[in-house]
Amino acid sequence: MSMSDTSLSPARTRWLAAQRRRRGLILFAKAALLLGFLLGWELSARLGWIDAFIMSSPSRIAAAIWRMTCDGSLFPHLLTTCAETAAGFVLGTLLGTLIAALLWWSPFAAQVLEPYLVILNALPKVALGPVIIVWVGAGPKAILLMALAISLIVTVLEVFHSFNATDTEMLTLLRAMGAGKLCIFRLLVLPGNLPAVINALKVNVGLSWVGVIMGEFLVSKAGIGYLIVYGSQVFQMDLVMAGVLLLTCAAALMYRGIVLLEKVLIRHIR
Amino acid sequence: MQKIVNVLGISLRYQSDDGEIPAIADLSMDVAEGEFLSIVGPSGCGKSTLLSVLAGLLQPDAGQVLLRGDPITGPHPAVGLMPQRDALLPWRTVRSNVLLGQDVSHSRSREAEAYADALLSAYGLSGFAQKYPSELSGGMRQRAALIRTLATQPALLLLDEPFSSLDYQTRITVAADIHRIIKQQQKTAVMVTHDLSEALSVSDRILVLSRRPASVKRIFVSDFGPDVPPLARREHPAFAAAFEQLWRELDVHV
Ligand SMILES: Nc1ncnc2c1ncn2[C@@H]1O[C@H](COP(=O)(O)OP(=O)(O)OP(=O)(O)O)[C@@H](O)[C@H]1O
Ligand SMILES: [Mg+2]
Repeated sequence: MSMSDTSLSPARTRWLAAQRRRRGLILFAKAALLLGFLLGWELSARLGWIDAFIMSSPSRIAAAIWRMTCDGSLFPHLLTTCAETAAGFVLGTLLGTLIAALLWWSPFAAQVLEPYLVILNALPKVALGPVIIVWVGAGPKAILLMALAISLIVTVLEVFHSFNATDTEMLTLLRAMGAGKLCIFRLLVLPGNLPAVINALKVNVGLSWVGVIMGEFLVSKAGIGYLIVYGSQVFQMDLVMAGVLLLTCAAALMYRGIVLLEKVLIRHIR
Repeated sequence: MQKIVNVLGISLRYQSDDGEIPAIADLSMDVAEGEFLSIVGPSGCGKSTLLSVLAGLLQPDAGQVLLRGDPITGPHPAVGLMPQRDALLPWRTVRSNVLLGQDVSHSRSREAEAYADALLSAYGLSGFAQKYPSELSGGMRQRAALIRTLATQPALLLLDEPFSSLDYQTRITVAADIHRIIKQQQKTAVMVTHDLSEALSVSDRILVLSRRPASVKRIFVSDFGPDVPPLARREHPAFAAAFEQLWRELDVHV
């Protein structure tokens, strides 16, 4: 029996109401948690329980952001960091997928390179920071390379493993149809592993933020990472906290963007 | 009768680090044009290996396989493989799955599409052409997989346990269904199965293989008459006796 809206059983009505109440409660608790935190922070600062100069406070952060918005210095910083991050994860995902495809293509190369990839993956990439700066100079190039260093190897390993786990029966089918390697890749391996590639994209957003901010800490003259370092050097904690807050918002927004992109990609590329 | 396939004394050993596994030893057989041949044998005896050789996916170490007189050296357009699980690509619609062979050989033409559409509608899938495989029942998926194989217009169909992923009842009707389509299309079929009653109900001949390494142990010729459909054969008075005889030949309990 189907349940139309006009003839809901009493049990169903009760269940739906309970669900609605629960959802409302969860939303309320979420908002209350954030508000409580901000309010507690603000009050503690005003009442002098914490030193607002060191710990900052929501109102001071808001004021700092407002000030930077008005004098026009905020937007360029935000843009720089977001652009670097976007470039980092797009490049990391594309390059990583390309390398994974080449490794899938040549099992010989894959076997030769596998131990090196595993070691590179285990290496803490921050250690490469100074090396990168010496090689390419303290500029945007170094920041991009930092972001790549962090996301590339993981992408290669993840995507390669999923390429290799392609259904053997489907592989046999395509081979029996006379398909060559390129054809198998185009018709089976790539479309079949699109979810893995998109997953790598999602992971790379996070990793690229880490790489870009790390890079900005080390070299840059612009961007949110720079703002944070600069703030801490001149002991303006409002600036530092504003930087952290902006970063949180930007990262969350970008992640939502990727989730949207995933839906579009899945629908159209296949 | 004209032979479409001649297998002449082939042997094949799988090589690995742990040693070699002889899968086929000095096996000879042939397949007549238009016949439905089943291959049965103990599990792991080399049935799928033999089918892979016929499909041109594996080369025997010794011996030769002739397709209409020419040696098979690789996958051939006149041979179509239907895998065990339907292997329909989940991100392609049924129609686009059926046309996969054309996409592989870059031969997707208006005629090819028309032929595929004709097959889809002849076998009751035209309403599902734009659906995805996950929206189809097991039997319909199997039929779609068969149509995909037929769409490349092969002369010889190779089926490796095509119904083993279906439940028992569906299996009997789907086997009858697939058999009807193959006969209607006047194709030659070689089917691996481990279900003896299935083999008896659809085949003109049944090849019984020995234990690994596979060689031909016996050949059963069906005496139900050529035009008796699978479901009627199962009802046939001689069916039980034939089953008994085949069962003994397989020698599974030793
Ligand atoms: N790629 C391979 N490498 C090594 N050994 C293999 C390989 N494929 C199959 N074998 C072995 O060769 C033998 C025959 O395998 P095959 O799959 O042809 O048997 P089968 O009769 O189809 O078995 P089943 O009844 O399980 O389908 C088995 O013992 C199997 O373990
Ligand atoms: Mg098998």
